[in-house]
Amino acid sequence: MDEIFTLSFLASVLSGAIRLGTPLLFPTLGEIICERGGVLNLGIEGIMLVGSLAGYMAAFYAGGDAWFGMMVGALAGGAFSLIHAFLTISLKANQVISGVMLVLLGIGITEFIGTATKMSQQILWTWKNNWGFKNFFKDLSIFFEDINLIPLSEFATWLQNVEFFGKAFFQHNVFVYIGWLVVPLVWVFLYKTRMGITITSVGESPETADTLGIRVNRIRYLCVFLGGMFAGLGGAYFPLAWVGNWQSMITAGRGWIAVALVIFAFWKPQRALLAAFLFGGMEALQINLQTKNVPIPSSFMHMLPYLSTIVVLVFLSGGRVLKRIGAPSALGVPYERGGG
Amino acid sequence: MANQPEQATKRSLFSSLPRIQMEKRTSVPKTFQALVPFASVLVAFILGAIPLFFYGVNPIEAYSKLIQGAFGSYDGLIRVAIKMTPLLFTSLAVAIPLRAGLWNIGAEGQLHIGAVGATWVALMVLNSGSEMSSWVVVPLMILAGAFFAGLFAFIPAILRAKLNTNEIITTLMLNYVAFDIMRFLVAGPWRTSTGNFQTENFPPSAFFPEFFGTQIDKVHLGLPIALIIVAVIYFIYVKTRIGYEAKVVGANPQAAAVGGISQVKVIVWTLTLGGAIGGLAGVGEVAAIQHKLIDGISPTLNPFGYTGIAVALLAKGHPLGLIPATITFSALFVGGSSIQALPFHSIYTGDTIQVPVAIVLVLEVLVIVSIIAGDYLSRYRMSWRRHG
Repeated sequence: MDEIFTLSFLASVLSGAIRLGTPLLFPTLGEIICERGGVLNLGIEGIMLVGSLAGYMAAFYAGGDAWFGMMVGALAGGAFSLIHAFLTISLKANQVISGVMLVLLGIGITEFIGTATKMSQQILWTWKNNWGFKNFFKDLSIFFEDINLIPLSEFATWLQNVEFFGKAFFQHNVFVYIGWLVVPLVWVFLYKTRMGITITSVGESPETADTLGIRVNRIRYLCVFLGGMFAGLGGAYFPLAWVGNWQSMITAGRGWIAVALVIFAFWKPQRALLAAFLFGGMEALQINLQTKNVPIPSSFMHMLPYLSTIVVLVFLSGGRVLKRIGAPSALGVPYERGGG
Repeated sequence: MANQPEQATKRSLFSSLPRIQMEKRTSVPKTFQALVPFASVLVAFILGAIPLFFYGVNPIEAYSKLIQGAFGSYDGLIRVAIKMTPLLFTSLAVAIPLRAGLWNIGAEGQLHIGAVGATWVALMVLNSGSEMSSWVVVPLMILAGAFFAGLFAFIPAILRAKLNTNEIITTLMLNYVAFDIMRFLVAGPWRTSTGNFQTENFPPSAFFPEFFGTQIDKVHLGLPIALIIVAVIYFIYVKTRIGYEAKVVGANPQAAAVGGISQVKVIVWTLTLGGAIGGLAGVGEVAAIQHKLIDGISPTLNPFGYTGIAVALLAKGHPLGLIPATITFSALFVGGSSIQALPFHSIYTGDTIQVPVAIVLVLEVLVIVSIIAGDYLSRYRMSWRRHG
């Protein structure tokens, strides 16, 4: 028991929180943009799966170029989410049905392509150990050494070996740091740019936005596409920056957690960072406690994120509270001129 | 934009294709609507041919073998009837609250809790070593499964009724909670001594009676129970006051409030009853198929709970429509798994290839997408504008 009250245990939990929280952060940010535009997208899990397979295959065919894989994963996620956009925005379908169907379609398509290519091309699925994103600061120090910037190289090496902080914060892959960068960017996009404010107005009051000459449905398509790109990126993180190869159902239900995290984050990007790492931390704590043989059943730790989401939702229930913390008023309502 | 005349005219479907114009219909054509589910299945098969074709399988060959696998033999028909059973329960779990405009996404979790409830009774009988007759044990299992699953669905129901908490998210989240409870039990207190993640085998008195079928697959008690529940729900809808109240709340909550219908009551009974029936799906799976509780009573690729949502939609929430809808999805399921093992010849290379079973899931989703499109077309009239 004493082993768990040490700095090194805390460091590995923190490090795990960041590593496991990042694939939650991207889809959560995407869903925030999407819901702020008034479209509830429950299909995140399916979009992430599509992003993960597309990203993996693209990286593979590009000879192990993980950056290219990430890009393709994001684009595939965005393209796939357009199905949801078409059904809910153009055809005014129920957003819940469409979202759940998108998950099933994502599972179906990735399973189909995954097993089909596996059967015809055994070699594609062999473990590729030497590509994908690795320790960013280690790479950085090698890079600086190569271009003869020895002091910077030494600094990067020093940073990743600092007691406690090094292990917790500076031994991750590059996408973890990109995630940290993206959060303020999304914040600026949503609060400080014309487009961001337009998105919020479309999610709050599409009628008013329409009278102001904003093309409501066009903006919503954009929101869904952006949200899908983020989810695809989060999906591509699994094979390219974590597991190292693709397997069926690789996201293991994390897309649903992202949907819940949006509520946890009160639809605010800065809180999404906190929420994603908090949920990642719960998972990391569970894994770390298991390795130390602490007799808490992992099932109970595993259900914590879901239970806490319900608790938060209960506290937020009632229109006034939800409004104050930033829930979009027109969330889930298709827009139709002249009421409908 | 804003200066356009205020008509019920909509802007074009795609801004880049300005000549197609969608106009809201004043009345919904009844025959059109009735045809939508049939047309949807057809359209799904046509669209599903695209991935098959790219993969190198002749779609017509694949589909004919799929239909043959499901309906072509006695074994296939029995399997369709067996897979129908859990789907009927889970689709009822979705369709009943849907009548009142509520979304139960939690049938998957209710299934697992129902299985846990039934297992609890079966293991008590096993551990007490009593010689109770199955006339006592089986009804107790059904009651326990329905009770615990109903209780589990009561949580989102009461939260929605009293606090207006979104039932979509709560039922969704509770799926994972249910799954974790089940996993905790099979990995911990109920784990068999042989070490696998499953319970001991149930005593024979806890088996559902089986009626007819083949050596391996037999139609069990679950199917008649499901069909009786369908009939009862249909009766409640058309003949009783509470059925009418649910319909009014679903169609027009404001009118319901004015008419003095208690929304709280309707929300609680529809969601709780739906949950209890969803639990029966799990009871049937452990008591008739597995004869023990095991991690994986609901298929991972095609979970009964989520498929139930699709079934309920294909049936448009109508209880009697659930029967043909479950037959359709169950046949896809059975036919899909039967063609998985069959050899096909690639139309490009002539090599022997296999069809991944995942095509079934793609077809199922395409059915629903076609339904959505069909519903849209029954609400809007498509016309060509004279000039752009």
